[in-house]
Amino acid sequence: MPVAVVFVPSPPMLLPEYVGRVDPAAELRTRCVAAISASLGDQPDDPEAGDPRVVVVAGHSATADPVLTPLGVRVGRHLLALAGWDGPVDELVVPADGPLDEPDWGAGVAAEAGRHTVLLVVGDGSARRAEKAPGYLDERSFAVDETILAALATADTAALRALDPGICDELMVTGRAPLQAAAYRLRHVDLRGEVLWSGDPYGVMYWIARWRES
Amino acid sequence: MTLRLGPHAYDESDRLVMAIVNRTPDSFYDKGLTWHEDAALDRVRQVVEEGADIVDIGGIKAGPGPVIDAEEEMRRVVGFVGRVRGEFPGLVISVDTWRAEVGRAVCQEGADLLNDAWGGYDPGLVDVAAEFGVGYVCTHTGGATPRTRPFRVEYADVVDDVVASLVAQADRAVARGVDRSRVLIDPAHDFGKNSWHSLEVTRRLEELTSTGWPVLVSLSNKDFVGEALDLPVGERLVGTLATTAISAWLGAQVYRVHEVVETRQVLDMVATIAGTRRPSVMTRGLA
Repeated sequence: MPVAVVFVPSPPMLLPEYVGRVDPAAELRTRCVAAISASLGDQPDDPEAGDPRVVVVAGHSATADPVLTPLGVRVGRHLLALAGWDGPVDELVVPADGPLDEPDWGAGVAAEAGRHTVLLVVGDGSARRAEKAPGYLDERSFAVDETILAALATADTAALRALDPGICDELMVTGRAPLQAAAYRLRHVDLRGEVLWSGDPYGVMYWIARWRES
Repeated sequence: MTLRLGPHAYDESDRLVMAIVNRTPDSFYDKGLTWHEDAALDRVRQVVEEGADIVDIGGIKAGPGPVIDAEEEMRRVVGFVGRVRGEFPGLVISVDTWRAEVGRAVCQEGADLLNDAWGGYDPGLVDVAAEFGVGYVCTHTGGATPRTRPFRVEYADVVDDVVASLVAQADRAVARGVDRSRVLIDPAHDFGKNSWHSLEVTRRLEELTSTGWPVLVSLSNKDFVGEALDLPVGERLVGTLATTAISAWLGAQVYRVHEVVETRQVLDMVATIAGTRRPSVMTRGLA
């Protein structure tokens, strides 16, 4: 089945309830929505295929308030809505705190051969890229983020699966688990990747990337 | 209740800064800083730039001093109102006067609001507001004569007196034809009051704001602040701003002030805490 993947970050400031009179994430949000729109519009030629299946892939830390929907899911759903998507959204929430077993994607997600699927992988790189960063500066963060960006650019699922959960936790790479979940899911698919934008305006690594089947 | 001033309409949760512009050589705080007309116009330009919503132009100091007759008062303010109106077509212009004939002359020059700071001493002033369709500030002075200081004034309950007087004045203003949405009430701290009275009015300000009439407070650098803290004029800004914050929390809507920037910040901060104003830029913990 054809697959398209969009990678977006999840700063809470993307959500309207956190925005003040000035919207510092306006440009980032616009970029995310454009990437999602492009992938949603990237339909296969087959008119029989129908609407794509949309799956938000997000991590969930055991330390987060269990009452709340995981942040990545909220951000993903909000961005999808802004991109005009009003169809159903499946969620794959993976534990973010330790090594990731191959996640169970659920029968529904895996089984519908022939249906176009868009995976929205919501997660961020290190939050320790500057002295003013949420986690203060850790110089090691740059190499890890570079590894991830290179893997996103080349759709290298093996490199993502090889990320070390311990190091990533130390470096506050909160997107590690959802990245690995997507990498497991797509490890046998021939993909090409493209990083559309990356930046670390608050000392947190953000990226917007797309993968498509070759 | 929506408050209307000039062409503007304000929501109950809006907090407005009324900047004092004295056309006097002897007011207690600025001591003639804007006595010359060009200096006064510069002051208007400055306060507009600083975010004032209203300017309150006055030609007579509130305290005792040389007699200023209506003719001299008009010389000080009427032409000036016209100049301000010419340069700032959308600015709300208030004039602080107790005299109907002065009120009439400034309305002809484009004033939007008559600030009757001596509590209806001249009963004709409210009729001028009605005639010109402008706003009117009712003020509690305990019946004091203009430009007199309180001397052994006592009230069984000062806030009860203030509320009763102001509601009666506001009702009268509407009955005389002033647009209901253009009437404000001002408890007039320090006017006909000792500092105990002014502090109690501040503490119980909600009894005024709950009347539904928009409340104007004039706190800026006043003696009740100075006496509360034992500080002279010139060192009362912090006390003024503390009083401003409390008043804003209790619902006062218009603030007659000397310091615009500081007042605006306090009002914005209180409104943000209250949840009636969106904060400016939020990124802490949200990146």
